[in-house]
Amino acid sequence: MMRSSIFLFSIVLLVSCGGDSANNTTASPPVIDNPPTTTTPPTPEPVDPYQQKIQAARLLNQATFGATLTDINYLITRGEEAWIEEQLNIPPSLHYPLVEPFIDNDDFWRTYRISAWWQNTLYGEDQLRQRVAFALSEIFVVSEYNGVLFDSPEALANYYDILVTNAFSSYRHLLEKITLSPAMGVYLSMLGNEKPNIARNIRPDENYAREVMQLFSVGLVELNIDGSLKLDSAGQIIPTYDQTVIKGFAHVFTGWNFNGTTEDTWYRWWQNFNLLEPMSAVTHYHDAQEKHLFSGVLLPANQTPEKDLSDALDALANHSNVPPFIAKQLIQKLITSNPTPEYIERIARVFIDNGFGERGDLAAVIKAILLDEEARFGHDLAPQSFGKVREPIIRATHMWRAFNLTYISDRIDFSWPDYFFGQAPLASPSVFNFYRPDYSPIELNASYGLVAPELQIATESTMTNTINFFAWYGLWRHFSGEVENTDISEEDELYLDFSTEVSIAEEEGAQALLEHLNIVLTAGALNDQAITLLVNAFEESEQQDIESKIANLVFLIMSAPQYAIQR
Amino acid sequence: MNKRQFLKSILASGVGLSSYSAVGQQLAMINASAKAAPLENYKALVCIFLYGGNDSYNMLIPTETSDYQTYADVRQNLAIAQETLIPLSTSSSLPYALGVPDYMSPVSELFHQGRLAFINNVGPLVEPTFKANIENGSALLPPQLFSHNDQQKLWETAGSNINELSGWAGRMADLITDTSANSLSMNISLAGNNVMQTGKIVQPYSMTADGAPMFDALNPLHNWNSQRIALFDQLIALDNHVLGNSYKKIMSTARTNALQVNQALDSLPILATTFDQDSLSQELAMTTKLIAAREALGMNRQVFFIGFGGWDTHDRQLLDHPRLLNTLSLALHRFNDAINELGLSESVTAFTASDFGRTLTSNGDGTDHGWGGHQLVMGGAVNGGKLYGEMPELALNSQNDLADGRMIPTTSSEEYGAQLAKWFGLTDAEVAQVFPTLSRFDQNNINFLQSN
Repeated sequence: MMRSSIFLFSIVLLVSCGGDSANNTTASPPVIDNPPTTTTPPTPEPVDPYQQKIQAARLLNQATFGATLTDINYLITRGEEAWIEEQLNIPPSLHYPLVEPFIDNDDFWRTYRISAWWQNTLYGEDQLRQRVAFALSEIFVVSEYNGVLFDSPEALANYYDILVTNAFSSYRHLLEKITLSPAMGVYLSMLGNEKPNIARNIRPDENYAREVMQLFSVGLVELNIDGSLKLDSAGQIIPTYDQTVIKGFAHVFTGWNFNGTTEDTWYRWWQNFNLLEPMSAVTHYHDAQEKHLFSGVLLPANQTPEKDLSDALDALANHSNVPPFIAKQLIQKLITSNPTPEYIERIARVFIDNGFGERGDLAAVIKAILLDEEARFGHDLAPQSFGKVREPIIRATHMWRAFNLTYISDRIDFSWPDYFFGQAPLASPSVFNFYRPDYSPIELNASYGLVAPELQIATESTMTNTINFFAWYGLWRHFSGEVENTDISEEDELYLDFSTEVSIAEEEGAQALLEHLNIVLTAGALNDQAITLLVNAFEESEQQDIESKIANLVFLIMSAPQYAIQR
Repeated sequence: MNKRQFLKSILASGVGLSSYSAVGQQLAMINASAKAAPLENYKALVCIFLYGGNDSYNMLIPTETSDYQTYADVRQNLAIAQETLIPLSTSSSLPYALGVPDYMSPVSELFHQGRLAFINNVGPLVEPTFKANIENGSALLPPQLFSHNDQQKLWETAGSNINELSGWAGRMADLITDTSANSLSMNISLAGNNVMQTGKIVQPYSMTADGAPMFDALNPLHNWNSQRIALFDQLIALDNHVLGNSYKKIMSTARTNALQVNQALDSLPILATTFDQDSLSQELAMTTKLIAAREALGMNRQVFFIGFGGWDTHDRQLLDHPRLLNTLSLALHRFNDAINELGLSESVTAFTASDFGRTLTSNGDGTDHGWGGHQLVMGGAVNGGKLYGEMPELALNSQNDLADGRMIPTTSSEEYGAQLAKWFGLTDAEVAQVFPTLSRFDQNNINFLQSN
């Protein structure tokens, strides 16, 4: 049976990524001498290998597209901080190069960029970078649901690569990259935005001006450094900006168009049509008046478009709201929906100064988020509320990573994750993402004052489809042993490989199997009762086929709240 | 005290969300002994939410030359050609004659059949609001004007409290549903979670235009699933994470309701009316089926929520907006035909809502976020062929223009919703509870629905 080179390549990547092979699982892992936290952790206890693996899986579920046994063992050998440092330095796995060979195909459509996303999220060595890029794609939203971008998957792959490449750069740098991206220019209509024409009542377009403030930088209302609302002397919230400020920014964002556009070609868009290179400016179409931004920031008249843009982005990036606004959303995307104000403040302070006087160092911010005592021990302090609802599409990547997705086509052909998960990369219904950071089911808000953003897309229909995904692609689509011995034949079939689980069950028994699943999938969220329940069910099941019994357990666990809530 | 009275008392007493649990427990006790008085007949409201902000000042356009010129001067390159307008014949008294673009001919047809009305210049308001009061700083304004999600939320909650999590259709359901029965929600969404249908007690049930999917591996109709289902229920009972409890609650509703809905959709009359393939039409097609299945579903009151996106026309407006209005018009006409076939035209009222109107001024090839905008209401119970509310002056810097052609609403979205709720069967007292600041407005100027 033929296997494609991409498939083999991905296996190589997995092995090199882990740096350790699955048959090492019984070797006793080294002790972490210094728990990698900057603050005092709870009293250290003697290292229990089971607990140690659970801790490693917790970090991997927060920082990657899902823990695998290989990665758990590798992380333990490296230690948490060293693993993060290593991840921060792995070169990016890009999407555009995977899409580029197909651009001239007659059937070029989203399937190729979605394949690239599966490829990089499942097999990229740069797991942390990919995971953060995905989080950024849900903050700095560009979507294919746009008249131009829907037909330009390469532009979206290129935009995604901006997020991947700059995930660990500075916030200010990233903000400029996305602002000048032609995909963003098209999506939020800064591209082609002109200076005013007073005689014809034509004003600059306010779209990017508004959303860059509301969603990408400062938010609607003034915040304290811990993310709480700043109030005025009358106890009222303080809006961050008003229509005057929107107008100021709208005038800043004039004069930009496809790369290489000139005064002559400004209206002949087809001559410079280019969805990959950053937009460039044409002075004639840039507003030359002075521009009032936030109170105290005034851009003088007759600056170049580039200087106006740079000054305006500085004003945004230096606003006191940015550190808590961005820090909180990143914490919510990776760790917990309801971080304490103290956690937000600790991360906001790293955002303000990475220790070297630099503001907005995203690598430092991510590292601080992951190593914070709340990220590492929050589940011990608040076991019933700490954590977040896993994004459904990340439940899928986890299943496929944990159980060695196997296929025989030359790329992963799974083009409509939206159907199963209510989400897909760069396919949000609007710039407001699939869900808002403050979404809360009313009973959760009323009883506990908590939010659960990801539940905004967990409608009855979507939840059913997600669980059907675990049935169709897990419960009923698996093999063990040699792939040649299976009935994989269809080009687009995607199978789980339960070889590891079958050998654990056969050699060590049901208890060991459940402990293994409790490590890799739930990072310890199955309590002793749940494990006993499933062990008994496994042993008593009349089903003879051990592999199907394993598939049944995986399905049940991945559908249950013990797994659906990452904690 | 019966259930409706009890709910009135807790809504009226301003019991906050923080007491939800206690309220829920009391309610459960009361439900055990008392049922809501059933409303008679069948009625359905169908909300079509035009996500993004409909530029409705390119939907109703002056037809006479001098008035048209005022419009064209403001709108510049976004003006719709005068010769393509279909005049609306109406007995409504208007400051100037109006028409719709020719790509809305199905709507013009419905209007002239008396099946459809326009409600002019509606938007979220805290109180009746005038330009002079805004300029001298004395007006109370809704929070976060011109922001998409906030203005959507104000439309849906019907009030000006941005922190309110319940919507007006949800609060209606709280009042009139028998929540003791573990049955299908009065509120069905075909557009996912939304505030409008979220009650303090009753939650919307979400389906899609394709129906209600079943859990293949947890479907109790198949014997081979029985062991797995039993094990699954034991497993999930062992977790008590509070986010997990919300997850379990959604899953439980999904498991119960999908069975019930699919059984009810099993044998329906075949209609001659067909729907187009666009998402709006398909969602209206599913709405029609659910209305046809009302008896099997045991429903005599229903609110449907449909989402139709793409209206945020900052650019390419001349390309996109006519297409959107055309799709909306065709879909409304088909829906009207289908409901007629069911013989329910007096019982079903469809209405639009949208984030906001848009600036009358152009940004080059599109428009930006505004405030007031026009809405459409359709059905046999509508006093159609008329326009309700005030039609503002279109000239820039008029008394209606906040700036750049952002129209200050002359009818509040709360007044608009209250008319729908009253028709739905709520008493005046109940309407006043569902719409908390309604009394600030004169509600007598937009009686666009026949009284019960």
